Amino acid sequence: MISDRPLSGGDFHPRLSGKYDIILAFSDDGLKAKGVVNMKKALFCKLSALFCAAAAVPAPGAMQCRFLHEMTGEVVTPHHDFRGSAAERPLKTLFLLDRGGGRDAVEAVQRFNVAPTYFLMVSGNRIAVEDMYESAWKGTTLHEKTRELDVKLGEKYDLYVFGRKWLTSVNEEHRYRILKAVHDEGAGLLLVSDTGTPRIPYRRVYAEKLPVPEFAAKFPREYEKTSLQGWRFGRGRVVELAWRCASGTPHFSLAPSFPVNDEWLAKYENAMALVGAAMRYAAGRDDTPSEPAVTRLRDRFNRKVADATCGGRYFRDVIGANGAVAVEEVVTASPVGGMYVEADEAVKPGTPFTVKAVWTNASPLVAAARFETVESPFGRVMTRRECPVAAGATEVSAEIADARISTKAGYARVTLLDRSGRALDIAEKTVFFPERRVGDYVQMGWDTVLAMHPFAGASILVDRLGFDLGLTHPSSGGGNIRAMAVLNQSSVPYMVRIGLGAAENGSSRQTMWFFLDREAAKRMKELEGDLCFYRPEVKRLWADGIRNRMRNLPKYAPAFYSLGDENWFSETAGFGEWDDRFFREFLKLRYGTIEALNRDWRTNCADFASVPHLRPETAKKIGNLAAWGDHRAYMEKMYADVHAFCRAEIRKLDPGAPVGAEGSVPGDLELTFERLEFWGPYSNLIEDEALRSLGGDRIRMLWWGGYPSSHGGRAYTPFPLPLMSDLAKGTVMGNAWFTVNVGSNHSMFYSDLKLADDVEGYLVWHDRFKNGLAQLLIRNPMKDDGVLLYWSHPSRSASFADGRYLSPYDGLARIIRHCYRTGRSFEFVSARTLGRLKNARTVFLCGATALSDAEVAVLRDFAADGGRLVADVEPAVLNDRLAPRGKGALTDLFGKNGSVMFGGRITLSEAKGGRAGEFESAIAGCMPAQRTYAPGARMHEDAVLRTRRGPGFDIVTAMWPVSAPGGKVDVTLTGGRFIYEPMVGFVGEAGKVVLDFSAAPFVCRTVFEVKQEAPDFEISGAAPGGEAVFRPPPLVPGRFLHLEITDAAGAVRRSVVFDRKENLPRRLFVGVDEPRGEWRAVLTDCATGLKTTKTMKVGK
Amino acid sequence: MKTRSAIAVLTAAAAISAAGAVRAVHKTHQPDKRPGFERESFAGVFDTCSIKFDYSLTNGVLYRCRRWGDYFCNILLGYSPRNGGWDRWDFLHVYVKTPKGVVNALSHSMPALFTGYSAGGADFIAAEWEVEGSGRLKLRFATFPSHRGWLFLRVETGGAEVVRVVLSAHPGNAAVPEGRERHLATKERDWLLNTTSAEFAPASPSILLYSLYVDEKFGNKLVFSNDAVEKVKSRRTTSGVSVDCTPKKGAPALDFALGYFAHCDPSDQLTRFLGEDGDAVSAFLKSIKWNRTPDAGEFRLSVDIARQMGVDGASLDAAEKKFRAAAAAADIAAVAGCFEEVLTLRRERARAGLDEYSAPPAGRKPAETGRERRR
Repeated sequence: MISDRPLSGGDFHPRLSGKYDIILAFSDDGLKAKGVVNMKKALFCKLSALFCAAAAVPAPGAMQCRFLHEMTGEVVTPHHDFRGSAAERPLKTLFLLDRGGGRDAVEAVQRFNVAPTYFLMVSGNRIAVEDMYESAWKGTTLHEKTRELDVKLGEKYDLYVFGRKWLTSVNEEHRYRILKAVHDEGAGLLLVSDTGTPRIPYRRVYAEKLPVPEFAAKFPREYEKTSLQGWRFGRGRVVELAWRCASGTPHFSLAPSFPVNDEWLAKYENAMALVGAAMRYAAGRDDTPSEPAVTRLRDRFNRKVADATCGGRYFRDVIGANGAVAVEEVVTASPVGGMYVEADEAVKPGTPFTVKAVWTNASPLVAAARFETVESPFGRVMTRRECPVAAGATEVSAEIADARISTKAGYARVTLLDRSGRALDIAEKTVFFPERRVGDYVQMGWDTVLAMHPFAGASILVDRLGFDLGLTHPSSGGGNIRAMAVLNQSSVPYMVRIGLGAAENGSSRQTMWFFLDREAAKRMKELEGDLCFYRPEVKRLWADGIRNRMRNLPKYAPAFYSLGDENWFSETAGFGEWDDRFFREFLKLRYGTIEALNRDWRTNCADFASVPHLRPETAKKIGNLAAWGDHRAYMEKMYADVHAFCRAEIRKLDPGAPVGAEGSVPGDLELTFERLEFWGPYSNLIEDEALRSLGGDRIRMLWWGGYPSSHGGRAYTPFPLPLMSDLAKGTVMGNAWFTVNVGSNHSMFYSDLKLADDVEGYLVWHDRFKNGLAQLLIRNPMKDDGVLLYWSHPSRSASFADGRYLSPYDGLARIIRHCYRTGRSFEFVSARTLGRLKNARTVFLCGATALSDAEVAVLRDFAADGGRLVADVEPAVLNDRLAPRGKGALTDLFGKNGSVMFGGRITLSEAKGGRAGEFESAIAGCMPAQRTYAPGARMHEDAVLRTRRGPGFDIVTAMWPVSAPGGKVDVTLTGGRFIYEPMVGFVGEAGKVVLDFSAAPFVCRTVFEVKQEAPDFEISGAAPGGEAVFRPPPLVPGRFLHLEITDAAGAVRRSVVFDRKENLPRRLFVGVDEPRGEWRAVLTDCATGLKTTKTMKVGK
Repeated sequence: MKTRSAIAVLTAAAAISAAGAVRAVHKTHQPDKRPGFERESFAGVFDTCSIKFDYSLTNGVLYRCRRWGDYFCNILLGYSPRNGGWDRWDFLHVYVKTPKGVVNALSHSMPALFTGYSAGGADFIAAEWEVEGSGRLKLRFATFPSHRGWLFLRVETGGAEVVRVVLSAHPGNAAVPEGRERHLATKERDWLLNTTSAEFAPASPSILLYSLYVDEKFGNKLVFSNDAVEKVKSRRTTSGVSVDCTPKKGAPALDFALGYFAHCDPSDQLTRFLGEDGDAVSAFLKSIKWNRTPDAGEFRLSVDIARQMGVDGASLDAAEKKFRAAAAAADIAAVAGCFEEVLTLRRERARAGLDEYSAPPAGRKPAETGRERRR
């Protein structure tokens, strides 16, 4: 455990005097800045041992898990201590809590003298739930939880605390044991709830009501009806603390929820103080502070202050000699009556804006006004200036040239001062600095920083781990998106979910309309029966739904918008009245003339109006594959059009916003993503690679991480295997963790916000990826080996319609895996990207049975120019509308100029021949020669070797399956080269790259022709509130640099990865209240791991 | 009547379930999609695998299996894609003789005893069926920390007359992809089941079920007491593979060890498992002492809780005495009865105590409780 390094890029919250020591339970080597090299060695030894152990046998059955059952108390948040000096026995307490809100109990324990035991439960009035995800973890079943509580209730406690749980959550036996302990042994029972607890169904509990304790009446209340009631029950007490606020979130079990702003911490502190006092009261301890008492004054920002002279709200903590505590609210009248601040709610970063303070009464005391811009959430003061105030004035304004705020929100704060500089009143306004930021390497969580203690979450999830994007449904009016911005997390609003099913009458219909407001939902119901998307009234519904969800969102600059996950459509839909009409419109566009349709359908229709709209089963039955394909294509077009329409509607309100969807069925992949900026497949080998190759710079990610029993995630090896593999292949450009929600069985956290043990194990890799390695892999293209795989969507459709047509996927999978193991690069080519054939040498036509005339012509030209075609089955026997051609349009090309047709499934060619070796040599024989970056020995069948071309260097990345540890392979080079490990350093000069997987299943090396130097740069010092001048070396896109600046105490102040002007840190401002001293700036060349360290003086 | 008493014993399973890593879970009145039907299941959950017998009932009476879905005999052991591995729907048949003919005892009636316990570091599920006119069929499932990934099974042939024991698997995948070869291999011979059935008197104790060309990397391992088996049959198949063992006359029990391989090359498994590993597992299987004395820890915990709750000490003393005797005799049904007895005492005490807390305080008008108000 470490305590000498704050998590945030700074003091986190310097308003709290003294150290703001969020302490993470990461291992020492996980965070400490010093001894990095030794740390890495040590960690690798550990990892290596674990790797070998983990690789033995995949353990079946439920997995060990501490993060859902235990609380460590190792994450310490900033707080004020209420323990005083009383020599009391700690209050032995059993907390029974909703595990989503476990943090609250730790917060209480931090502040009070408590010896805690925790019993964590799932949400709802129950202790356990059993399903495929929950039950994958040990100890989560009803029986296991019952036994856990059986054992925990065997201990004697001073107090039982139910947080956001009712007594009836536990079974009758447990209830009786708890009530008996209260009744017979004098223990306390405290029930805390947000909306009030239902009465315990045992009337004697309420027989003897106690007067409301004196301390409770004085506590500051954010909710007027908050109540604390107690009853004597036998020798003990039953106490109910009901916050009487709106139903809160499961992420608070003992405290209510408050609006997220810079007064949150003080309100939370007060709430925790009341919880602590209520605990003492319930346990029968002294509840009135005795003299001599210690008092402390806090302002509304939770800062400890010496006096309450400035107008505003304060809180006086009283800690008695007997350990009892009380908090009283103190309100100091302002000499100016009252004050508020006016400023634009949203300001473009770096641009000037006006801040105006207006107060009620002119006061002769007012001499000046101090204008400050303060970063949210950590309270760094970035600018400060003072202006004189004219006598008798009731307002003052100032123009802020640049707020210098680098987070998404901050505060424009104005303090009125008297002649001696004493503060008279303070007011502020939250200002947002919307800037759409989607980095080269995106880190997104499902759920957000609001799914936990928000300020600790901002520090750990956003600042430390770098999950600066959160996917969530926007609340009505976008309140949660606003709160995320206040906590410096960008949002990915989940706008709609597209699911085109069939209505009873066969019409296509969207199945989920949660995004409509009440009025639109009523209209939708009136249209029920035919909700075909192309119907104008239905399009209006979609547009209104988008508008409803978009309210206020653009102000907070969402990173991008999601049109849903698991989007889908059904080809059995699309047969309503409106569908028929638009289907024929679609046919007109698709065929142009009725003659063309008649030719493909082998019909004799007079015009498009008389073309029958055949149901898929009918079309199949009569053998009209074209008619079957046309309906499927119609539904695919509708699916793509709904996405595109929603995108257009979003961009009307937020111009330029990236929009997409993820984890969804592709439809016609290229058509679907054509008008989107973001797409995530339902992951499979082929579509992941197709998206990489054909999707260009689209944001693409695959959820992984939390899944305890599926998706290849959470393997309990110390490696983030799915992420490593996807980055090595280049199929993702981000890290998407499902889910960051505390208390979820997919979570990355313990209930108390310590990182789950497996996630902690990932940290060394997580940091490497985030600090430049991932960017290197994402931004640099694969080397070009002239190998193309043909992507034919109609051919894939044909394989669904008729089993005689081989699926392209059958052959593609084998070819891709062959390329992975042999280190050959490949790209996809499709009807939309035929230009790629220009530089190709070999094209694999796997299952390419349905090709258009245009495709056929280009492929023929390619073959005529010496290109090689390799097919598994006869290509182009259908046209792209699935009409039979009679014979394959490319068949005559095979057997000439190296073009090969295997005449059957490539998959089985190995089976019937000499097994794997024969297959490898047969495929290798079709490939262009490979002089470099080929493995010197046969790789494991599931290994991946990918080589990228960077500017002036190559990047060799390889994965080896954990099930076969200890692999080692040499990769050929054409001569002596200088080899580096990205982010780590120089490996050596050699004529080959040695890929040794004994330490980790992922190996990455960069290869240079000449020896590299550490990057040179200049950085100036800066005065507090000033600016440091940073001069980087010449920037080369693709050659990433990581700049990390730490203060004299070793706390990271800035961390930025860049390779070009657009992502270069704009300006390096130093906050007014950031610590003085000698800071260190370390610039790392990510490709080589070579680094240069310089110092900079902060202070006058 | 027999069924009722059996169910009473079964309830104890829930208590024993808490023992160590193993638990037996008996669920009654579970919903069934078919109107008029409900389900009743008996699950044994080990640290590394689970088994589950799942029955249909209509009007509270067992609906004997007529078609797919009426009954499942589920196992989760090892990982295979697409429902591969030991048959997740019906992995075990034990055919016994009854006056009305040969039946699969497991689907013909529900267990009369189904309980879990730990003993000497191993975890056991004891499952017993009353076979009409034949006797009691006793099965013991066990896992051992020294053999993770293996499930051990004893089928006692002494009670009911066991005719055949059939184990089923879908090595790698339950689907039927084109071109896949199903193989059954022993040390002596390899059968291609796509084209031929296998029938042999087992000379060695290990069988490997594997596939070639598709789903190659996943398969199933079986070790059994070949000395007690007259013959092994496996039918011709392209899909599920069954291993049908006929016991030798007079053999008191058939013992099995069910294992698997995943993400491995089958040729490697053929060499290693049939060559060496299978024999080692066989030696272990032979050494298993199936009638171990159940650990007393869980029972003591239950008694301690009962004492804390104020349960009458004399009743608990009597229950403890009974437990000691039952455990010493390795009488699993009696052990389960002792657990149930203490659990009942606990439940009764809790109910009585809560009733006391619900009664109006003496001399006072009863206060209205929240529950009453809601009514």
